[in-house]
Amino acid sequence: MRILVVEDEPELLSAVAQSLREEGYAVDEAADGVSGLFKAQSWEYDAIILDLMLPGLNGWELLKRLRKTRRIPVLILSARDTVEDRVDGLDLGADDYLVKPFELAELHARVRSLIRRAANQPTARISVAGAEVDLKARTLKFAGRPVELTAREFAIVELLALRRGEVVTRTQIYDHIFDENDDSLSNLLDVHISNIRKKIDKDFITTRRGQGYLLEG
Amino acid sequence: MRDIRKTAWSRFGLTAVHGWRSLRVRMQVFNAALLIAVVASFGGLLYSRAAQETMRQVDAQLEAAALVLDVSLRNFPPHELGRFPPEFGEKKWKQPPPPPHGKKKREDFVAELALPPEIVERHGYYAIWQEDGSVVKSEGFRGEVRPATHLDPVRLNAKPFVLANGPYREAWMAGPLGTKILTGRAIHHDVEKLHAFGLAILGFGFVAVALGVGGGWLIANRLIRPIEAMSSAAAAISGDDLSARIDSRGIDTELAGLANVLNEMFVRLEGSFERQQQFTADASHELRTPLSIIRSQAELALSKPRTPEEYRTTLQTCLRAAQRMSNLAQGLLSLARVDAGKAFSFTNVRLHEIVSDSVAQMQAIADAKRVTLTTDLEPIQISGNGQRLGQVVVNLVSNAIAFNSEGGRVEVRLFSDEEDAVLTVRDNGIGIPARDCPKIFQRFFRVDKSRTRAVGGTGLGLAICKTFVEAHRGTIDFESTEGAGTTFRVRLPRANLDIKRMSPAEIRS
Repeated sequence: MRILVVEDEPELLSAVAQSLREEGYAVDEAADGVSGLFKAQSWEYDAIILDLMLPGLNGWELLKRLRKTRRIPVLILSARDTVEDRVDGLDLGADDYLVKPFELAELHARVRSLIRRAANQPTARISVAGAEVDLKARTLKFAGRPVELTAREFAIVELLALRRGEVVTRTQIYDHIFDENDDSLSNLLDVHISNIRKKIDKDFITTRRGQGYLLEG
Repeated sequence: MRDIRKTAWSRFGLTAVHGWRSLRVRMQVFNAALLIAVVASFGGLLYSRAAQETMRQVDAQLEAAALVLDVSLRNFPPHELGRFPPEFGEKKWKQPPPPPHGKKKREDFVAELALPPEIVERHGYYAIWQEDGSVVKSEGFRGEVRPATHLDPVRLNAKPFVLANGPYREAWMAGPLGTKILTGRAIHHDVEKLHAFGLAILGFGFVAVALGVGGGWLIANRLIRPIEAMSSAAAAISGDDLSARIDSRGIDTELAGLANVLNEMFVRLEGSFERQQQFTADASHELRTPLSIIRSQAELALSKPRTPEEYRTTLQTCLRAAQRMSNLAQGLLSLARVDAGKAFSFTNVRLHEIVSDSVAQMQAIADAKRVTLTTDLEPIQISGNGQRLGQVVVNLVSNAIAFNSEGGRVEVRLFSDEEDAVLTVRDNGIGIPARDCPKIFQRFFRVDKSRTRAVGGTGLGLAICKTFVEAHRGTIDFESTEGAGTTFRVRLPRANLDIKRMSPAEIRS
């Protein structure tokens, strides 16, 4: 899953981005409103973490403009904590509001919740194609036994599981697994898919020739 | 208005003012007293005039009646009135003179004596005595009429005068040939009429006073109400409801001016409170950012085993953020002290030494950025707070260095003109964009957030300079050209402030 973090304090931006990467997300960063909006409109993010007091375009403006064309889940992360601020932010189109200073654990949980909600997935555990995917623990069990997956592999499985039953194109997978700084070749994807099949089951991921992949059942 | 009144009045313990302290009561009392005085004196005047007039009429009546009797008496032949022929008196008669009116006898003359009916109606009476004291005629008396011996003949004139005699008034005069004439009548009827008149006046007076007091109460209410409205609105200005205003549309008196002044004051108060709240919100916001940095960085570093290099970086980041918070707290505290009106202690300070010390503090930073620092200082002594003035210089020089490029220059000059000590800090750095110029003294305003962050700045530097300079009764201003440089100028009055401890609020006022 790919996340955009828009925050102008560089030390905070890097801490949040890195913590998310260590959780297995692909993370893009923006330090001001203009580049943040540009990126948000250019890529399919699974969630956006948005600071309000940004140079250039402020967070509210960015959100307003974004909401004209995108329904990406947005979590506002701000030191502004009054009820009015929170109400305004949520009414403007944010899906969640977290006040600074915050705990990273809570931020992660809320991001997970946003992503699940967007995929209409009520719980953190998904049963699909014979596997039990735990989104919180980032573990997978197949036919009862746990399977060791790398972060990237799990991310791919997570994406397909959240979209189970739907065909996900290669490009989509690529865009949701790698961040902007990653210039891996697209055939790396094939390597990951192949490894997943080896570890779990060769029929675990279904291929639709010319379209993409999906998880069935 | 009623609700504000109730809550505000009860909250501030504003009881309705009673007794002599109340404007209403005083107005009422004065009004009533004045009205009563006017009505009473007017009524009294009216009554006394009526009484005088009544008596005058009665007296005139009696006098006229007496004169009529006098004229009738003059028809009498002298001897009928006890004046006998010369053998007994002054004149000599050869024969008794003929009666002037034919064969009229004394009885006829006497019969002609009469009172006009108006007097008779009023229990009129009269008596006529001859010279020897015997009664010629009397009518209307109950019982015998005494001989007139008790009367002093000298007191009686040919002109009648009137005396009061209990319930009667009597006119006395000296008639012809030594006669005495008395006419009298009862006046109780007139007195009753007078009393009725007096009561009518009294009644009217009461009504007038009642109306006046009632009307006065209404008017007083109309006048007092705006004053009470203003008190309520002022009382409602608490931390909660700064938006209260006096409705001055219904006021068309001098009070309208007062209402407008008060409303303006409330506007300024509200603005000032809002600025204060904004400042508090901004300050808390500013503090939260470094807090979040420390928190997130530490959490991340601790979330799994890290390399010593990573720990080191994280600790350095936390330290920088802590320093940032410390700078912020320091700046906020300075401003808060001045805001609270706490006094600076003033002593005689050598301004040139303070400036050169502060510049020396900044030398290392200037060298690191390869900025040249020069000074040109005239020895000047003023009365001020050395520590605060030093801080002003440090802030200005630090800005001049931070907003400069490598190889730039910063010139610090101190000199005096006729009235002030003047400090200028000039740099040839990036200057201040025109649209930001009005805001640079605002608390937390930063032209370039990242540059300020890089030097650990708080956005409070210039706000603090301005506050401190103004606490010294000085001024601070600047000129700037974007891309060419900026010059800040601080003026401090040299005139000796002979009060050693003055609160900045006092100085500013």
